[in-house]
Amino acid sequence: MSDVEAGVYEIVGRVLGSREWTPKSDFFDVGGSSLGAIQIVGMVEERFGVKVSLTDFFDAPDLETFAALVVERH
Amino acid sequence: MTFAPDRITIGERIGALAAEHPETLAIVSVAPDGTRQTLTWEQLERVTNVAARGLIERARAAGASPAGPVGIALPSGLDHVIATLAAWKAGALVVPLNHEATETERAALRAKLAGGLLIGGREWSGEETGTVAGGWWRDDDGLGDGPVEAAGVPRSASASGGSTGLPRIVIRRRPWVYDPERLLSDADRETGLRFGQAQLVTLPMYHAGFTGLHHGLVLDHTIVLLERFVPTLFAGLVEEFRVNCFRIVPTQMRMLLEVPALAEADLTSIEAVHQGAGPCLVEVKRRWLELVAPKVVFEDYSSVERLGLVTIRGDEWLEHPGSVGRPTDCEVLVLRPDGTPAETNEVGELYLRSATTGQPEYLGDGPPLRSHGDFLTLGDAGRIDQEGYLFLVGRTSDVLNVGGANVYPSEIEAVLLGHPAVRDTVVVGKPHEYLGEAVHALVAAADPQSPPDRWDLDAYCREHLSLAKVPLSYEFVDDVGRTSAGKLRRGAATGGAR
Repeated sequence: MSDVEAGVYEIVGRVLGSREWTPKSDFFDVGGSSLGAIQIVGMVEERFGVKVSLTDFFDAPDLETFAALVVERH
Repeated sequence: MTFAPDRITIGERIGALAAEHPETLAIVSVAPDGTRQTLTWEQLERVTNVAARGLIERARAAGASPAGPVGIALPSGLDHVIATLAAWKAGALVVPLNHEATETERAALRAKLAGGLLIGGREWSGEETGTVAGGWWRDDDGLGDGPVEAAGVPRSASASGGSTGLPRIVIRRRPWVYDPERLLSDADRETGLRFGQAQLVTLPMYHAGFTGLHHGLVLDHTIVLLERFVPTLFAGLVEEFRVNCFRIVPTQMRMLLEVPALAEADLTSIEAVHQGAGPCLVEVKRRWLELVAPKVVFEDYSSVERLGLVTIRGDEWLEHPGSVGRPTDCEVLVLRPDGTPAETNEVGELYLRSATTGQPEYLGDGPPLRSHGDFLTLGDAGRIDQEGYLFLVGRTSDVLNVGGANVYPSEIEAVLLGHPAVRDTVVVGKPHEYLGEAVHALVAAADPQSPPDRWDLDAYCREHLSLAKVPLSYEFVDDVGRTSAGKLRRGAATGGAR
């Protein structure tokens, strides 16, 4: 796993807190909220300087796909 | 009972509707993955009767009164509705709470509900309240499912933050009791509501979702309850259930525009969109008025304190973009800081007076609202133009509007000050594309040689604060700008950003 990918999961983990999830999870199915999605997109941009939109986040079927997108744009 | 005998409670109304059309669908609860749970009216009536009996037993066992406060800290879903209606049938004061509150927040809420009953997970247990897990209605067979004798009048209250950092619980002025001839009020009718609509609920149950859903049940609505606001599910649900009405906040409106399917969806069933909770970007609203007929969109300026209501319909808004309307049911004064009236178009603090205006009734303590004669203010700032239209421009008081949620900077500051690496802090609002305002923290380090790590502060805040209150950005400064009296100069710290 690349540093960027691990970093995305670290950020997702902050927002999801104690909820159980894996990279294959759908963010909303495991208890994520729309406000949480906004925070993840914001923190990803701040930490990696990568611009991702909420549309990108919603379009990703799981967290792995979203992380791959961030890696690709990094 | 303290209400007239010809009035009916929400519980009695549910019973009447169940007798009228037992097999009709009352509620569909939709999980984030799209799976559903449903209740017909008869099922809703029976399960809430069972639950009410169980609740009375549990309250007595915990030494609480069934007519006292009952906090409901459950996720949005069928159980939330069942617990609420059961508590009302028992005659309680229902207080919906954010089930995802942190331990710090839970402790403060338990103190407010002292002596009452709390329905929630084990993490809510404490000495102040009797705490029980929900769901007993699924296996309490021996209790019977006929109507229950209420010990009090069904009421509700909303919990919000407070400028002292402690929560305030404001009791709703109207109990959940109706004149059977006026179940649908004139204001309902004028804003597109009618009996028998399909209502989509997307807002949290500890927020505006609660009142809309339960008033909808009284109006014989079929409720489609989205357990979490998942933007990608919205358009499909409107089409599938031919949704007629819903409440929405600007952040959701902005997020839904990011979902391409919305533009393609059949939205022709929509008869009433009730938009609230603060200013919406003019461009976002314009795009919504292209998606749905302007005549079905009603933006309102109101509050749990019910000082007054100002509403504007979409077609009128297009002629006065950005306005929340002309006050008709209440009077609005715009005052300067010295208490003198502002001129036309001059921004000042908004003071309201209407038939319902009065100091809020709190569960426990709460601050009185500031007054000017018999006008009261929530600290919102705005202006009135030459034609009498009201425009909101933010707040003068120390409260932020983060995606529709009221967030009190003082509560966040109190948490940050507990971090050993923080000497002083001031929390302000920063304009945000989706949220309207985002939480921004200015932090002065205890040791300037080793300032705190932004990501450590984030983790620390997430431990103590629920999602909407967690700062999205930090700025490390030498001095946060307190005056010599120790008072924070928030206005100066924002650089006019608010």
